[in-house]
Amino acid sequence: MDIPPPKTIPEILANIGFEEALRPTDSRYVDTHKARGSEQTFRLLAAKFNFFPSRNNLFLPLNKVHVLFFGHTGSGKTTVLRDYVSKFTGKALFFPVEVDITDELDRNNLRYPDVLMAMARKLIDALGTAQVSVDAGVIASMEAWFKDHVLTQAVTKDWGATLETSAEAKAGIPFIASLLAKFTAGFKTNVTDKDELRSIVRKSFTQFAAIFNAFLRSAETALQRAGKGRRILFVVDGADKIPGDHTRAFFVEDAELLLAIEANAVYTAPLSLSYEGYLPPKLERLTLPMIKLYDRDGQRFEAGYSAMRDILLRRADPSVFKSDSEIQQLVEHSGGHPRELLRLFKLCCEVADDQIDASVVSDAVRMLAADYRRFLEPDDFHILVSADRDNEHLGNDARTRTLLYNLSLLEYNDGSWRRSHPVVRTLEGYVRAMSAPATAPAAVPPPTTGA
Amino acid sequence: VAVNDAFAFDHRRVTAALALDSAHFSEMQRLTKLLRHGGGFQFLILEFNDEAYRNQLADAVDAVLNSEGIPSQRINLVKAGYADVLAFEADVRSRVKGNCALHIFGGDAWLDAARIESFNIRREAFAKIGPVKLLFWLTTHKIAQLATLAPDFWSWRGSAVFSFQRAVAIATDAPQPSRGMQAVDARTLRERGQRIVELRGMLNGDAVPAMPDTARGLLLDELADLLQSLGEPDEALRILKEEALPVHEKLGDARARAVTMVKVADILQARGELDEALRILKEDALPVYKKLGDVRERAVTMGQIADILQARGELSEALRIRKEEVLPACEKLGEVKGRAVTMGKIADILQAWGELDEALRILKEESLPVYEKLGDARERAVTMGQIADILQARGELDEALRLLKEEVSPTFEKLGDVYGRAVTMGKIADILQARGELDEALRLRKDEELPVYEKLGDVRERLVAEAKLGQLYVLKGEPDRARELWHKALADAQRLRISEAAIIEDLLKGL
Repeated sequence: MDIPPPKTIPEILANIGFEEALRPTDSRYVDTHKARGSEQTFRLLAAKFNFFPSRNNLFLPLNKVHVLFFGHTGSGKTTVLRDYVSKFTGKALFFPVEVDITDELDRNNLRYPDVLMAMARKLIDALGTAQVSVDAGVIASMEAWFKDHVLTQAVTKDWGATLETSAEAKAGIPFIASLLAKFTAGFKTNVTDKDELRSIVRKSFTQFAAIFNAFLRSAETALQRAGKGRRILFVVDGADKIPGDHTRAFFVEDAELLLAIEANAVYTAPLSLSYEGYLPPKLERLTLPMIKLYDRDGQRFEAGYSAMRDILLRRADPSVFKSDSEIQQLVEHSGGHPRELLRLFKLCCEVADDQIDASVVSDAVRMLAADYRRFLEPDDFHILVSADRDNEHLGNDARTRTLLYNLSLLEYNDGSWRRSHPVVRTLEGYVRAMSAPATAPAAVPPPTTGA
Repeated sequence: VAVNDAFAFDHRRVTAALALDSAHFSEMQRLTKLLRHGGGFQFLILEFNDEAYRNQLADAVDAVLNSEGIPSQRINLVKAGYADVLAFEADVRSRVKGNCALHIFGGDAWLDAARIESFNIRREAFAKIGPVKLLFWLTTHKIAQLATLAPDFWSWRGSAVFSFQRAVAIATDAPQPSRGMQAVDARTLRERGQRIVELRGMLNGDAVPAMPDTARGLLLDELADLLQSLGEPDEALRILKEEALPVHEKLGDARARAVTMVKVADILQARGELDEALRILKEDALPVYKKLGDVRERAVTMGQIADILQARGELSEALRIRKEEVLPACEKLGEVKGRAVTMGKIADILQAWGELDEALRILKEESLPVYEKLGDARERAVTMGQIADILQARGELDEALRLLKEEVSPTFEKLGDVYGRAVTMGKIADILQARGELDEALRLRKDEELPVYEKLGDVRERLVAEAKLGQLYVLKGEPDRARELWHKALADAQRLRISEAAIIEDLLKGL
């Protein structure tokens, strides 16, 4: 059921959290595929798993595909991925298992063993909910691994004693589920034992990987029998929010472990990582394009404006804005980045009395721009101006990756062209850098309001 | 009036904002509105540069929130003495009972890089504590550090930074007329003038035609020092580069060359050419002293490097150098005065971070008694000037003015220290401006302060004084004159890449 958007500024302020990813059934959800120019993205992702949507079937389904799904932080990766997954789900298709790192683990200190244990736990939970049983021999192998390699260690010796007192968790799936829950809880909250727990998994990883792979195949056989899907698809969300150097540790240093698991999985990943030269070639890659407001040649892209406008109007009644012009200005200054649009909109709500007019929008743009000024260095403006003047992107040095990470620089389409964040263009440093002689005609339209 | 009445809330927040600097009216309105209506947990960053005013702001916020039935508390991270972020988190958890606001003070000193990282790691845990509003009061420098060191943490902030910067506080990190552990020339103006004449006579070769190069080099250095102290930096720089350096190089005297290069760096630093000054200290002086095993000169040079970093706003690194490099060397060498000067500079950093009580304690207990015991009138005056700054920040204007007029200014006049006197006149003008005595403040700035910086070629001090002079013109209803001065000051500040540029930009936008 559609919930009407709030009509007053206090109501909007109370509900405008912009960290939340949406499901396709949410009344605030907006289909952005056309706006991103990403109609191909869904087909490309599907093809990586040998899924052909026109036939609604998996052709020679694969056992092992790990896909990194790149995109700017806050650009809507999770929301879009949820929509894709809903189309991947079905009797002849996939049985999805969502693992949200933010909820399950400590994303700020994350290694692959943590995620693997969480994936195993979420799979067992999902199979239980779907009332699908796995072959007893496979379960016995996994149980044996826990008894031989986990419960014998000093850091986990108490776990066995705890389970002894639990009537349900002495053996089989309940026993394994309980231990996996202890692992994930340990990885999430136990700062002191975290490394030892990881070490346990790493030391006997080959054995565990073999057992887990057998478990996956057995589960998939059972799912097919039950008519619930042909392959399991893990959707690992939140990996794009792993901070700084930890991202590389997870996706690069642990890649061998990750690739040892014969699973179909999609991991959200930060855009800046896509330009790391160290990523293993066996990791498949796909980038979710930003919503674009202009084409590369500077022509206004109507589908982008329309989608961004919808994103706003699903969160606020049109009467909140003095006119359509204010909506247009907010969209214009967002650069097509949904979270930046909502951040600007929230600032408007903080400033406005009853209604958002042109001066409120101007104040919001100025305030957001001032925050960018705090970390941009003088030379950054030259990089940003170069990006705006050039219709091809100009390389990926460390500074450029940082600008992509902090959203001063936004990337469109398949990453072939970039533009500076429109609010950054209002800063004096940018204006001065732009006044330097141009080597190519500027393709970027100047903002028409703001600081 | 019911606590949730919208009109009553608007009335209260408007009234609270009206009691503040007019430039902050909108920011206070925005803040109180978000705190009142914004849902759930909020991590907000508030920028300040004046501790007394920050307290006034927090009082105003509390008055509005409390009348809405939202309780508030304050935590000073330094005074609370938390061992780490987990201890801080535990304390927050124990304090929070439902919807409330927590003002967090002391973050500039307490939140070092490691704690920012820890806080970043625990941020979700904080968010799950409950519908608490964490108001982090930080200075510009610390906010920039947060945005740079932890960009994902930065993007997590609940809104754009609320800026409550006071333009008058441009003076808070103004360089003090102090030269660290270096010897201070305590001669009066007249005595120094006489000495210059003597030196020129000797160096011209009439009296001592066969003066050895070693002596000649030393005398040239001394002459340059004297000329610099009397406001002739161009001539001082020329003598150092064209006359003294060739002598030292001819003799192959690495130490003497390093000493002269440090003097060159001093002059460049005073002119705002900080990058080149820093390069000289790091490349031309430090390696020489290190190679010679000269602990004292190495510490002096490290102190000067910290001075430059401090001037560039890199306070954390400046503090680290002073604590970890300079202070231990002073203690090892038994340099009582050097230690006192270093402590004074640490107090400067704490003051810039808003830690006024601790800064005042250091000055009163660790610096001032040393200078009094040594009979060092100049350093005593410098320290009294710092104390006056802190009293001013606390709103104790009368006592600050008394100190500057009766203790500080007469000392600099007696010593013939034109720079020290000009800085003091500027501080007096700050206070007069705050008290509304605009005409006298204007006279001091125009006649007693600016001409000195112009003559000394001190670009940074000059642009700060111009920015303040512009404020006076605004207060006197002459915005065009202010605009002209601010545009000029802004151009200089941007060229020097110093943080005052942003403040002046805001001043211009507010016109």
